[in-house]
Amino acid sequence: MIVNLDESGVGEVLEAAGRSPAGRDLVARLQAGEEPFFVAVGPSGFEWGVFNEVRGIANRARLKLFTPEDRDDLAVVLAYKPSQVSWSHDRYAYGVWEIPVGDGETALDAAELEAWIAFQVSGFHPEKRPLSLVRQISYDIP
Amino acid sequence: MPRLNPGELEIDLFCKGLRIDASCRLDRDARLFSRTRAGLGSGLELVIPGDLKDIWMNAPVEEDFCALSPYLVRWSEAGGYQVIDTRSDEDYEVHIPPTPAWYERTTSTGVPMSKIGVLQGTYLGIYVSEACMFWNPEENANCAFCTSGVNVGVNEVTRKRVDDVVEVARAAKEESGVTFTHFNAGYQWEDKPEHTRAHGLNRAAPYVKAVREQVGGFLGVQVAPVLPHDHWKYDWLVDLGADHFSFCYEFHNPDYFKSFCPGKFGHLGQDAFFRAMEYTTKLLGKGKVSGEIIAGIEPIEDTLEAIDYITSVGAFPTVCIFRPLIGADLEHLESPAAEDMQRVMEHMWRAMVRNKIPLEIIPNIEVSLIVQPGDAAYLAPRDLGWRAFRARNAIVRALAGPYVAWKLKPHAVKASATDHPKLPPRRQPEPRPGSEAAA
Repeated sequence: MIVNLDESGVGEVLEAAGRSPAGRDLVARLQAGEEPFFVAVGPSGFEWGVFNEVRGIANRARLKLFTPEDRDDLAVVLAYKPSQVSWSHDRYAYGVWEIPVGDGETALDAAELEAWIAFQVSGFHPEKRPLSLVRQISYDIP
Repeated sequence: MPRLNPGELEIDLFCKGLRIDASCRLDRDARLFSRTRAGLGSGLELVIPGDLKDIWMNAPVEEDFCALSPYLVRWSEAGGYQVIDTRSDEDYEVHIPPTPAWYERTTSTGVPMSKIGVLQGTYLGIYVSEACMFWNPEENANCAFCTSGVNVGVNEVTRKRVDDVVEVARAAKEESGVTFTHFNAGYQWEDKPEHTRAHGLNRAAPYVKAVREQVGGFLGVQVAPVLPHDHWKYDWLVDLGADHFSFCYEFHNPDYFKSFCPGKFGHLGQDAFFRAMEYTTKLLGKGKVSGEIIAGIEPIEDTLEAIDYITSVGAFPTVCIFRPLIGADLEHLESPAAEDMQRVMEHMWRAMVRNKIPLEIIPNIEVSLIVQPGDAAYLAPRDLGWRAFRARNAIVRALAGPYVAWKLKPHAVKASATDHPKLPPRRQPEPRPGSEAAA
């Protein structure tokens, strides 16, 4: 479920995300799931976290869907943790899921999507890495 | 809970991390947090004053375990920063070194200087190559504690021009009083003769020569070891101006080395590190080479054995306390127990004394990423042996004064940084079709 649907700006973010097939699948999965997801308002792209604790600490794992500049053929999900230092804008990347965008209504692989959600909920535990995780990132992250 | 001395506090902070109180203005007062090189420098640089020496350290602040730390850094009402132990309300004065002015500048070619090199304590660290080849997707054999593959290109410039490095080294020496510049790189096919020109030592060579000739100071090189048939490269690097080599073999226990350093195990083997350390110690002399290990993952007895081995060959141990870095394969492991780490560091001190390894001879080399052998003086009883060792080092330091002054100046280097009789000729670029050369 998405727990901050009432928050200002969230509706717009979801609407924008829903314009792409990958975004549509992601929004549907977040809404249908048991996990308490929240949508981040402000950052570019479609970005969300989950309200849970990992080993007694708030889970910082974030996923972000975006299209790299000059790469309209690709939708990308970035896995990262924001800094826990209040003034820092550092992002600690774990890798990406590269999703080719075809001509039609390309949907996400359901099993892979579940693997990515489990990876996020685990706080990006190394043993939960999805098979599709690419650790080297070859484009700028917005 | 008794008040900790500076050495004990350093170890406890490495193991437990640090929280940052809202009263701090570290965005204004502290050095930028930068996850460069292997990732250990991602914390808050601070100095713990002490009667024997001031201790520089890079306190973990970003990793998850830091959120549960009993230690809190805050701005005191009296002015200045303090670390508070919230279990006992004990407070410790600390100094926060500011961002050097040159961090904010760019080189003449427009590259931010802090993307060329960073201060880690009081020395300048420069990563000299593209990412460690163990991070190549084809290899997929990176060390499990390391994050260098996700740093280079993100937080650092991938390819560094020699002139840019010289500019940064000069600024660091003139403005920050740096006496030691450290060049490092990850695995660069050191086991493959066909890639001999791409080895880490070859990549470091032009930087070493240029900084020796144009800046001066003491220069260290930390790259993967070459195999014995290439040991001549160490002599070559010394001719170019290198004063120090360090070898990161990480784990003494062969099973841990194999499990957590799959690339180093598969391509180089632990023995390559030992032979290179022994060779370079003979080449440079006692106390000029270091063996780097990580404490807190393998059994403590293995770490103690590593320290005994390193000091027995005349090198000094640089012991990193394991930090479960964000994004590393071992991120989910616990940070080690401070009591165990104290035992390791006290053992390190005793091994240095027993083997009479010269200590802190060069001024102003404070490495914030590790517990330096000199920091461990706080952990041992101040008995006769302790005093005699420190007195001996003070004498050596005084005698070395003129040599140090000479080394800090730039000097011409005869050797070539790109050609050597034992290197194969450089490949000539293919002539362009239609050019005079092609005709």
